[in-house]
Amino acid sequence: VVSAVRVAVDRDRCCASGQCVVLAPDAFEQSDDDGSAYPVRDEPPAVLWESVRDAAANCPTQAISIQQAISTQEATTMYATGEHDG
Amino acid sequence: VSEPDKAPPAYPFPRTCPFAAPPEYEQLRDKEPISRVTLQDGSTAWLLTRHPDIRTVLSSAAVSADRKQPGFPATVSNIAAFAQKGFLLSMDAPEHAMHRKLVTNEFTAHRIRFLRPRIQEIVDEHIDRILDEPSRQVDLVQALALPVPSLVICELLGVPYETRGVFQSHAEILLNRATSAEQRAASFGALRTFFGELVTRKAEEAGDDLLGRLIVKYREQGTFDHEVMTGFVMLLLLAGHETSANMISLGVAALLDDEAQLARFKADPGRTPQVVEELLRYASIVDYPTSRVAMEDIEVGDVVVRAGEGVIAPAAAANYDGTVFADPGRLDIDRNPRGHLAFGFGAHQCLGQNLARAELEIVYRTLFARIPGLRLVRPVDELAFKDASVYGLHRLDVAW
Repeated sequence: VVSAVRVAVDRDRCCASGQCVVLAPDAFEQSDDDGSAYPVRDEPPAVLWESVRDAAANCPTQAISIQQAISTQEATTMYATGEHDG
Repeated sequence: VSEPDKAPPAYPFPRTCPFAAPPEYEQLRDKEPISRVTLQDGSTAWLLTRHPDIRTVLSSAAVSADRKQPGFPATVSNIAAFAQKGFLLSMDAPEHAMHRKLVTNEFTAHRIRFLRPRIQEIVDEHIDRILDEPSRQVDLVQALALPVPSLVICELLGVPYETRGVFQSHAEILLNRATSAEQRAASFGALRTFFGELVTRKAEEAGDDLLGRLIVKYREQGTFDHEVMTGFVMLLLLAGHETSANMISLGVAALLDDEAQLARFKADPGRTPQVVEELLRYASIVDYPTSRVAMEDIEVGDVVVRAGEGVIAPAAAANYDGTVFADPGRLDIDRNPRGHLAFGFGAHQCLGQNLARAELEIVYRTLFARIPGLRLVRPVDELAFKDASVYGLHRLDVAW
């Protein structure tokens, strides 16, 4: 079971097209300096996970990475790199 | 060596629907999704028709967008003319990102939200004028589709709107497929002179507009170059008006042509953003300009594209891939068309996409709310569609 999602944007890769802000308006914002995207929260609430995954899958420069914390039955937690398209 | 019995088919394929992608894309996707096509100058290039392959190539670091590179697909005559100095669309990394990053802050979702009230005002003024027309009939291209985005981009950039005759007429020539190599070069020359003079004036007195701010940024970096700046402005203006203009006229025509979809839209204007996305996918007006040339051998599907070979990665083919968008030939405002490539893909993805979305949302919603009885004067198969790098309508007669 995914217990947490950690999201990051590689600002060097980001081309600032602003698509993630459309797909996940509550999860991403764009810098006023150069338009590059950044997550509103590094660990967004569960209600935003689907839109964050959408934004990552459709990012034109694959600049968004997602890590998922998986809770196992023994209640240990580890971070696994999430689905990363491309 | 055995030669195939037929030369590869001529490309670009004409649209027949008339809104939808050419049917050849679907036939090829089933038979030979990575195939060869023959271009107007007799050269050949690879044509991709599957959504994932098109994404792969457009986001690959092994391809070039430089229209001057040998092997770049010559989808129109004098394709190299599009490698204008300062044209972002023809630059590669790292030069491309360096220039692009100087304007991306002007097009953030946040900044575009601030432009919305002014866009709404412009749209309302133009619709007022339409409603004042005693004959209750107008050409929507001239009355709304072309002037609204032209005025918006002029105000944003700081280009006098009175000069629109110059850039609108040359845009038409540059994008028309029937334009000869010489005509295309002459139009670029005329625009360079026109925008060069504008840049000179702006450089003397940088105002509080996008051009003024861009000049200041280049100067602060010590990299101001009159030629680069001239090309930069040209591209922002051409890309900023012609694309939205064609999406407005085509989108309105497509909705007026589909009674059921239009009724659903009118009943629920809250779904406007989704309607915009579906119309962007459905019309896919910028199709074959998303071409590249391989700078290294790259694997695409089960084909190796060799260094120096051209690859056409058409947005319309991706947006009509039935494995991604079910029943793609159907306009369906209930579908969620996310993942469409109407704005391209990779580092060159449209930097003005959120401005375009704002313009289209405001125009579609306001037009059908204020003129609910709007109708086509003649059926869509009698409309004058463009054969151009940006698909669209020459004219759209509507009445109410």
